[in-house]
Amino acid sequence: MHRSVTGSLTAVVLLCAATFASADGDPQRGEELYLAHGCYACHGYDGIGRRPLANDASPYMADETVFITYLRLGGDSNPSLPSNAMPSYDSAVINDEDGSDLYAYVKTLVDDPPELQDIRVFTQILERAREAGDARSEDDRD
Amino acid sequence: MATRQRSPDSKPKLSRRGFLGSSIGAAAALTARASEAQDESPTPSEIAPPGEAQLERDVGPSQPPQAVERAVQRPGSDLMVQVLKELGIEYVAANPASSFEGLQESIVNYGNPPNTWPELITALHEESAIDMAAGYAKAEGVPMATMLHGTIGTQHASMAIYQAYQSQTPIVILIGRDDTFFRQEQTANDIAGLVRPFTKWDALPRTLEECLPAIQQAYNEAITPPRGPAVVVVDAELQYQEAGTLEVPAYQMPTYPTISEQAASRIATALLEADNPHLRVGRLRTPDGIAATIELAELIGASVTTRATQGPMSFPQSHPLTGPGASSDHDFVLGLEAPGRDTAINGPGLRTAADARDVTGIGFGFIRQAPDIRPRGARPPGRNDLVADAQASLPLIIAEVRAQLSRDGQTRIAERSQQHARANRENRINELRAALEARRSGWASSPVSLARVYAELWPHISEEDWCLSSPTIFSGRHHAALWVHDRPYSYLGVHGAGGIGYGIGASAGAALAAKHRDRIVVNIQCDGDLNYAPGSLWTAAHHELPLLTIMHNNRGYHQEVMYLHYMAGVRGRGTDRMHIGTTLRNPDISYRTMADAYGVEAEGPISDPEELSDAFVRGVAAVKDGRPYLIDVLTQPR
Repeated sequence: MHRSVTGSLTAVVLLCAATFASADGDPQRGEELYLAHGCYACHGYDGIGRRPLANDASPYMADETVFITYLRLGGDSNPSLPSNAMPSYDSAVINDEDGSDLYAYVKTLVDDPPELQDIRVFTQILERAREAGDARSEDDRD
Repeated sequence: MATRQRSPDSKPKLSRRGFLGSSIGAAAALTARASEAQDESPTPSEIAPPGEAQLERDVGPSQPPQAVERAVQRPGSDLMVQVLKELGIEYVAANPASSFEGLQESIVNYGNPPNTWPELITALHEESAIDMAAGYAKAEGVPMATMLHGTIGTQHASMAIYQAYQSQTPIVILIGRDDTFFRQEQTANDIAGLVRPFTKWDALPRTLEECLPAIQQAYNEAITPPRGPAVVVVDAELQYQEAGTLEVPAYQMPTYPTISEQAASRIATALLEADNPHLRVGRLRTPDGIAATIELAELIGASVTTRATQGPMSFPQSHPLTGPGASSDHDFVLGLEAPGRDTAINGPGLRTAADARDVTGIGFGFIRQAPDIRPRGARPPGRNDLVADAQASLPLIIAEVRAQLSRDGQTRIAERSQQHARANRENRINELRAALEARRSGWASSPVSLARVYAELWPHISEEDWCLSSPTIFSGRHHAALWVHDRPYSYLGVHGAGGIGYGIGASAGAALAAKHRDRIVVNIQCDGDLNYAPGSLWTAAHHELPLLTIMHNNRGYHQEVMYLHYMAGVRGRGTDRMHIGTTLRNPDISYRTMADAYGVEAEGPISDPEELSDAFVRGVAAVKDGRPYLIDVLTQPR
């Protein structure tokens, strides 16, 4: 059910997107808005939170119009439970220019982590797990 | 006799007692002379202390007695402590108070050596004392005790008691009551009534003869399912009174409800006839229960689902049989303190005790009789569910399995076990690799990603005997994917009612359990949680507890930040003021300074993830040396 709701929302967002005009936003002002509106709470200070945005991780980053449409329509209007879901933002709160600036800023967010084999502690963890498994296999043979 | 020492050319040196005594004598002499020569009265500084001749005249050759004949030779509270000793109570945590001063004096002075089993632990808040007891009990499977002061201490402690009740954690609570105390607000006819709806059992013994077995029964009530806090209100009078020839009654172990032998036989048959049996193991009572479960799993070659990453006292995560096994097509699933598709053995839940205890009809959620309200993830009881203690029932099942097991069966089971072990090992490595891949994201982030905190810490503790004491639901639970939870106390689980302020107290309790067992305790401490009752840091320093606290310092009550964002979004009013009332900034709280104030070594705040590993080296070294240590880490919100 969740998937179908998400799918429907995506369709609505994409349909509405055609009605918005695209503009070049100001990423610096977008960063200020990102922090002021607490977007980091879920998306992390650098777009790498529980709901990642960096590297265009969200499908709603497809273009600026889609992004702004999602800001408008993303949230519930009549919730029954506390939720960590995305809030929605009327144009009176985040207007199209704000949305454009936010989009411009979020587009600058990049997550470029090292490969697994280049993270020393990860290779340690994996190696120790393998060794532990091998030790148990020896035990099993005994 | 102790004689006054006198140097050749000095006045007599008097002890404080001697000084007070001579002052009284001088004052009496002064009063007598006052009527004769008021205008010539010397000032107090002009009065000379009595000389040696005067002392000889006044006191003569008499000598102070070496011992005074006391009205009470054998205080009732000594016997109460003896009961605690025989129950194997290791610690009693308390914030000192007049209503249990007799008991406290006995704990620190009675026995040889005194203040040992139990040892008195100084808590800086009654809620901290209960949280310590909860952390200890989760780690060890058995209770420690606490002392609370009358109405006020009990109310301070009540939230933590409620939380321990909700998580079925055994604690022995002794409430001091003194009806003769001038602060009558601090006593009541029925102090236990303040916490009765969320304690398992309570008693108000009227005599010492009743009190001693009441403490024993409180212990038994606490450790039998449904487990939880049990209370004895101990009148000060009983603590003070002469026990005479009264002896501590012999302790009787409790009986645990078990399944019938017939049921055990049926389960054994089903397990042995199944081609691919599976065990789902929840939280057992003690390590003995885990050992029995391992024995059963290995006997029948069953794959096992464990809750070791979710709480204490479950099946070892890296046991070869842990995992889905060679095939997930299980044809008989047995639940042991967990849901089981075909049969489940679960101890009686809190609801079995609720009606009798909640006489005021408060009707606490998840306890009240409401068939459609179940803990998240729980399912309705199956038709084959058995209400009994799984740990106590396991020996019956094991005996039946052994009796029914054929030689052919043994061969088949051995082959199946090897297949499971191979499949589970491969599965674990694949899952670990996937988990690591997923946690590369944000590796270099500053503030630090929580995944990196857990990942960087693991190599530093993996070779130690460790315990993760704090709830991790607010810090991403990355240990579940990255660490290996093989011991009964690897992870102590969440706070039973979600009440904040639990982490540092429970962690100090877990560290009490660890202290004499060459174990270290890791506390991933949420900042908002610590600020409720940080005094447990002092307890950790004072009692030299091996407690490594790593701050998950996101400078806010982050769950509420997100809820409030959503609510503002729903109402279309914007989220730019959602920091009001939800964040801990301006000023930022210095946890390093806080720890330092309580005598805990600390460093930070760390915002560069590259600095984590070296800090963990220092932290682990300190706690292995018995010095609690705090590392303040500025983290991503989640």
